[in-house]
Amino acid sequence: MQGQRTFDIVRVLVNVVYYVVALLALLVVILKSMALVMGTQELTDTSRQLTVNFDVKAFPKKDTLPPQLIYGSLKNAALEKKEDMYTLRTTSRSPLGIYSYVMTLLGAIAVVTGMGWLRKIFQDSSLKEPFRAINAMRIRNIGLLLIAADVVRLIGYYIFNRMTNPYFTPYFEQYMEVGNSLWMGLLLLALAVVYRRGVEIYKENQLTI
Amino acid sequence: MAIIVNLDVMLAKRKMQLTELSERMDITLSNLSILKTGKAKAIRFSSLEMICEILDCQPGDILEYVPDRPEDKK
Repeated sequence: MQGQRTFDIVRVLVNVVYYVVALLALLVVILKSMALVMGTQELTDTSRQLTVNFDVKAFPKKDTLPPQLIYGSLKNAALEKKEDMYTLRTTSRSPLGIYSYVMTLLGAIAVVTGMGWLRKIFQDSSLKEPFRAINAMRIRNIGLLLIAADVVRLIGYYIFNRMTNPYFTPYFEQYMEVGNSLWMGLLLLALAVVYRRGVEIYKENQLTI
Repeated sequence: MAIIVNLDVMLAKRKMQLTELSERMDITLSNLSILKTGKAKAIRFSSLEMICEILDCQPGDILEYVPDRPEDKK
């Protein structure tokens, strides 16, 4: 059947990626947990101490120096040094460290769960029987998971700002990209509806003599 | 369902087994059973034509319209 080879290759790839991602997620969670249990509460020497880091963008007053531009041999292009990017360092047992741990744990669970669903979709599908009701549910679940991931990220962004900004000058915000997985999730929800219709048509076709 | 399939009646009239019909139509027995038990969602003209040809009957002998009773719809 046409496309069977591509389908088999993608299925193997998804399987491999699933195990790699699951292993990495497990490693990250173990390391974070160890840092939480064994780490110190006080921030001492940030160059040597194992810290929890957040990339933040500061918004200082406008009297700072203009950004430095580096010109290369490529015409009409320049490398701009951003002045206002900082890394917020904290210990793993501080409130921000615990926040980071919770976010990492949630992220790891979401990634492994999502990849698991994707893996099962490929396991249960075949070109002979491409439409299955359970896969429509899994596609919808992945879509919802992606939307939830962005919502949690957004909530985390506000929590982070509430936890840090009253104590620092200049004002800064956590550097994160929100919105991509929301659109992806909405697209998957729409695809799940189309897929469900495909399941119905397939069933009707099977019952046509 | 409002459409009743009378394939079993016609088979009995022609003294023919479902297996024989499936062999002559070159259709699997399970598919023909789906049609006979009324679980089918649709029937192709080509299948209907073959059934009519083999059983020497009209489509009306195979399919019958019986209106649903209002209490059944509830």
